[in-house]
Amino acid sequence: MGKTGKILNLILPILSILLIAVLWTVSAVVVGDGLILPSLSETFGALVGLIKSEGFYTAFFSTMIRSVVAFSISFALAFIAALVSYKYIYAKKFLAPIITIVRTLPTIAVVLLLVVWTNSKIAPVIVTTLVVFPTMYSELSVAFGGIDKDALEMCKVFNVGKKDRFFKVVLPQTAPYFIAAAGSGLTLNIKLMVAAEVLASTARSMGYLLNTSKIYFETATMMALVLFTLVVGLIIEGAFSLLSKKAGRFL
Amino acid sequence: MIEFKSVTKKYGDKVVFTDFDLEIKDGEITAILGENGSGKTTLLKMLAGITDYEGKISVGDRAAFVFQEDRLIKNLTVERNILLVAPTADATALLNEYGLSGYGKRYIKELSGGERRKVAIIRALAVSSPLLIMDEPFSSVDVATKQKFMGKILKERENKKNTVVIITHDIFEASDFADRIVVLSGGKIAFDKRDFDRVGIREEIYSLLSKRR
Repeated sequence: MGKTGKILNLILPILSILLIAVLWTVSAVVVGDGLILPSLSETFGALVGLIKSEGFYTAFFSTMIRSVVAFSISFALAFIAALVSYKYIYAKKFLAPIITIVRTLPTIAVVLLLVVWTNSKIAPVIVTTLVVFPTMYSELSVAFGGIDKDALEMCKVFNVGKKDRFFKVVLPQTAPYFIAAAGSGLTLNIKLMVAAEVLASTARSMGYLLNTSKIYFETATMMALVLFTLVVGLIIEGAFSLLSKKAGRFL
Repeated sequence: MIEFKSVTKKYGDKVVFTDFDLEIKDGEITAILGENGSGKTTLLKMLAGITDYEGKISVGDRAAFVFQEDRLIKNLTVERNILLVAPTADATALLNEYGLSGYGKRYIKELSGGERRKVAIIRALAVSSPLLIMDEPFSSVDVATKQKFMGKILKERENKKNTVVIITHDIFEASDFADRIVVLSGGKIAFDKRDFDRVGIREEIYSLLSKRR
């Protein structure tokens, strides 16, 4: 990449964030009502207030823990399902309708049902696991499908052991895709978790804070919570993207 | 000794070999020639055990293989590609020997086509197997390196009585390098000769292959 390319890579994202900020500011001035659309400064003020409050950290970490638990379950299930589908074509055919059904589940209805069947802490975990699973399955299936079959055949001819085949060929070739899938999956998981917590009225959660702000017309706090969730998502996705690039440096 | 006995091979409805028989003696360098689609690569794949067939093939020794494609592992460095199949080999010395000094730590994407080919051949030679199978190994290798590889293989054969099977389209390569030349056509042996005159046999094979076109 040339010097101009590097500078553009740095400047363009900053310009796009500046454009959003300008549009937000102009819209807030045009609307002229902080209850409907708070200004940037009002939102940042609310964000600072949130960060200083004790309840916020409890809510944030409990949402994050639930997200990580749900994501780990869906990733593990998707990994097993994708691996079995890669190895056995009949397993893939068997799993296809199940994946389609899970993919088309009406999320809101499922959250409400799960609240009845379980409780407001568990329901968001189950629903995000179910919603993220098909996406993870698709991405991990693509990763397994990309394994170099010629290379595996070569290993067989040269009597390379199964352990070496897995750790030196299969895992390094799939790891960049796994890491990228994990980054986008975890970000999606956090967004879904907050939505599910709102619906399930999960106590001490980001969703609960969002719901409470809505009830008291604290639009600036709502925007601050959305902004915070967005930034956390961006950080996670960026970190995983860097890791993925590092793991795939040979590509 | 390698022995094909009543071997039949089909790809779907397409029959490549029917009741095919061939014997290759230990310590012999056999060049297999033939037009495209005559079954040369299939023959080697059956030898390597990477395609199914009916009949019997006895190979005996574990083979080292130079595939038609390089089949190098892109996530491993050049050195690690060699050590993956030959853990005890001196990869650095082998790379130095074939003009690839300093290439050990490079990834495959950093190599040219010819360099990849060299690494694929070095990898097979690093195994030091009594049986070396090569599918058009020198197609993208420069003449000097090709001579070096051929010299090394001939020396190994002299010292260890290795068996070598090579598929090639190059009549000169076959006549200079091999003890025996087999020409395949339509899944059958159309020509098979040992102890030949290196110049005369070129004319003979050229005329045979020309007639079949």
